[in-house]
Amino acid sequence: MGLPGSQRSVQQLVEEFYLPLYRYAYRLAGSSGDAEDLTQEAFCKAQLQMTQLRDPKRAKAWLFSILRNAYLHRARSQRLHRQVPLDSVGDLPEPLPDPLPEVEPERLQQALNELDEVFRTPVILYYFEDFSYRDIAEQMDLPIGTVMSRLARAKAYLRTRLLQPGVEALAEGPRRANDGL
Amino acid sequence: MDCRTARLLLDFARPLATELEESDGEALATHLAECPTCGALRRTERRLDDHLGRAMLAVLVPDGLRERVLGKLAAQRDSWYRRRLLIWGTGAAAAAAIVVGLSLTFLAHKPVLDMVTARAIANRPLPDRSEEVGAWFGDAGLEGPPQFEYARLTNCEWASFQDHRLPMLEFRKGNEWARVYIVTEGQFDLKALKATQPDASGRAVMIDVLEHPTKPGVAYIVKYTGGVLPAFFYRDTGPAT
Ligand SMILES: [Zn+2]
Repeated sequence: MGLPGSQRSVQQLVEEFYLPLYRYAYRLAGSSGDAEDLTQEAFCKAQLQMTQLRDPKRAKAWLFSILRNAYLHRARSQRLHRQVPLDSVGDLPEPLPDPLPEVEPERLQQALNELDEVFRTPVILYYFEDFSYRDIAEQMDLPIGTVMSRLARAKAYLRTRLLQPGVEALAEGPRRANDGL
Repeated sequence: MDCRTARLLLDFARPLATELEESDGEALATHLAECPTCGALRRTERRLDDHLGRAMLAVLVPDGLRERVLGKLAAQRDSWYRRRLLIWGTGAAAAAAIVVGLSLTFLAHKPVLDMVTARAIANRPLPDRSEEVGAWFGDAGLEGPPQFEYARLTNCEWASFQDHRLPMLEFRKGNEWARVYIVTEGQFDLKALKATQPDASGRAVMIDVLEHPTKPGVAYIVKYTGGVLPAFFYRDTGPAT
């Protein structure tokens, strides 16, 4: 494998994207150790594959996609997450509590960990805000409709789990979420 | 615009990642301003998204992460360039070996130690059996020291000797070792090399020079411990120890 990335161009990518990339890795993997390993791995792979980045404006999406592949590669050998059947997601109460309850960081991460990766990735990318549905669909190599459907269910799960008083994990065991698509 | 269309478009009208055409965006904004149901739905969605979005992005980044990432990338670059050099070196060595072979024919048995070839040899895996060592060296026009017991050969690598990079053979016997650096005539003042110096653990390390018994121009600088160089030799060429 070649090393076509000049030191300067790779360093620029690090300066610009190491923070969002680490945060994404943390939300995907659920621990700071794994997040740091994934961040380093993603930049190292990027350094080796710089010629694949033809449009510098796509650099962030490209790096995120490298990181997700690295994560999936690891996750295949370690089924770490308990996953919930999203059929059991209830509706949010109307009206919503005002103010909305504070979201504790650990509870948010726990709720994300309970989601199958096919739901977790779109909802994380969605909340990173500058990823469009098209971007997310490209990252996951899925039709936009599928992404939107998964996203809607993942968002509903997080909202019910985190914003509805008295709701704890819906997971009962290490079952794979049924995406029903 | 009707409510059904407005709700379909709502999803695509995100503040930082809108995917709507400008005209659709304007029509949607007008509808949201005029329709209390869709307007309220929009406000609720934004409120929930803002709330969860802030929590999602609130990840503490460990101190020194940037430096560690840059360090890892620098290490990867170093190792990549080292591997490249080795590959280029081996490619050049193959070409040089042909040249050496031709030179040998013309020079009628005069041994030639080509440094690039030597490097290629030093990076080849060691033969499993000691009797193969001779053939292994011979293939590339190199001569190892014939006095040594090749069953004691433990390592073969490209090593540094007085700022020169030389092919080095390491022999071991018990706790003692001998490192044989293969040199050509003129590379060093061989007479000035013979000396004794302490190693890291304070043991005496001798330096001696051997000439190939029959081939002029080929010599070996030997650094060794134990004080008795023939201890590393074939039994029939040195005293048994
Ligand atoms: Zn409406």
